[in-house]
Amino acid sequence: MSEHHIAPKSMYFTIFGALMALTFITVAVSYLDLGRANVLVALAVAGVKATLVVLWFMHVKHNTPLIKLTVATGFLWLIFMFSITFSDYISRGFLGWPQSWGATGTVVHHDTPPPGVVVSHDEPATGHEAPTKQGEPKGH
Amino acid sequence: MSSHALEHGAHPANPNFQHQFEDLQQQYESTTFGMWVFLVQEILFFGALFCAYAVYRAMYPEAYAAASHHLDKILGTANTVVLIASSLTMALAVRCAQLGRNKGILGYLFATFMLGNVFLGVKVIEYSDKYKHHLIPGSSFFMGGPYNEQAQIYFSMYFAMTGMHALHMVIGAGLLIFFMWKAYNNTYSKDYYGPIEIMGLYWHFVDIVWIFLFPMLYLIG
Repeated sequence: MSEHHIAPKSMYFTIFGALMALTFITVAVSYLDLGRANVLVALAVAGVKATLVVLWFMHVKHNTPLIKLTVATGFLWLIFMFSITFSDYISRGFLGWPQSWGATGTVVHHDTPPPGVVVSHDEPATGHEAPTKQGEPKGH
Repeated sequence: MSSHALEHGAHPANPNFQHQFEDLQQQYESTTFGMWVFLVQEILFFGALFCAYAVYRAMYPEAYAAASHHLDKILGTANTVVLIASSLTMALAVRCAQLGRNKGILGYLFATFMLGNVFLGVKVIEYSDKYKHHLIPGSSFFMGGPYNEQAQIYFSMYFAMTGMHALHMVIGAGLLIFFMWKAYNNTYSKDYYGPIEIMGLYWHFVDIVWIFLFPMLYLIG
């Protein structure tokens, strides 16, 4: 199989150095408060790192079209999974019906606490309930 | 390509040649393709976990942020460095395999194995820390603060995702022992190194999963 591309050692160390640098960038950025951009930066850096590993460590860069297509379909189906799932969850608030949580991704303000926060209704408030482990949700 | 390999006429002599293939080249391409199909399934398997993570994070962003403060960023970063280093040694093992150097394969696989064990050891420290601080979801879970209940979702996702990742690491470590034994017996050559390449694909995939787990779990606070 002499026709296979054998990369020099230096290539692997270069990719490793880039992965290390990106790791420290993403950790450093996590200490800054960029609001919503924090998530985007973290995802972008992770995406670049994964791309470096797939293309060079996993040899997809110098591989047959069949392998390249197979890898691409993997990520295509991943995009389907996310887009179909989130088109459901994000659009649930569009019709304005009562939701336990809102389309914007935050807990909707109700007089009752959101699901998961159990407040014992069936017991009269005699004051000897178990010390509450569940806090009230903070409003925004 | 296939006929090129046949011209050498060495294949019937190679004990690793499987008779259902035309030649070693076709065997190599078929087995790596099979591994990639398996990895596509793995992408979707872990993708479903990431999808569930994302749905609940969209529902309870403050709870996720509060809960992620209970993870140790330093340990997480150290483990990321260790795992990427293990990917480097794995890639160098594959390079040795391409050159037919069995001793090099053995050495680099051993380095990969040891780095993988360091990763799992740090994971044990982290898990036992969660246990001591009542951060295992269930009746004794107690994080405190306003998001105590929703934080259980975060920790459920944390243990499901890192646990499934660690299980892949354990399986990978077992496979590494097998391939070290094969390399010790001089199994691989320039004509036959597909199994090491496939072992590398598996290990790099597990690395990629961690590349996404690390910022999603540790760096969102």
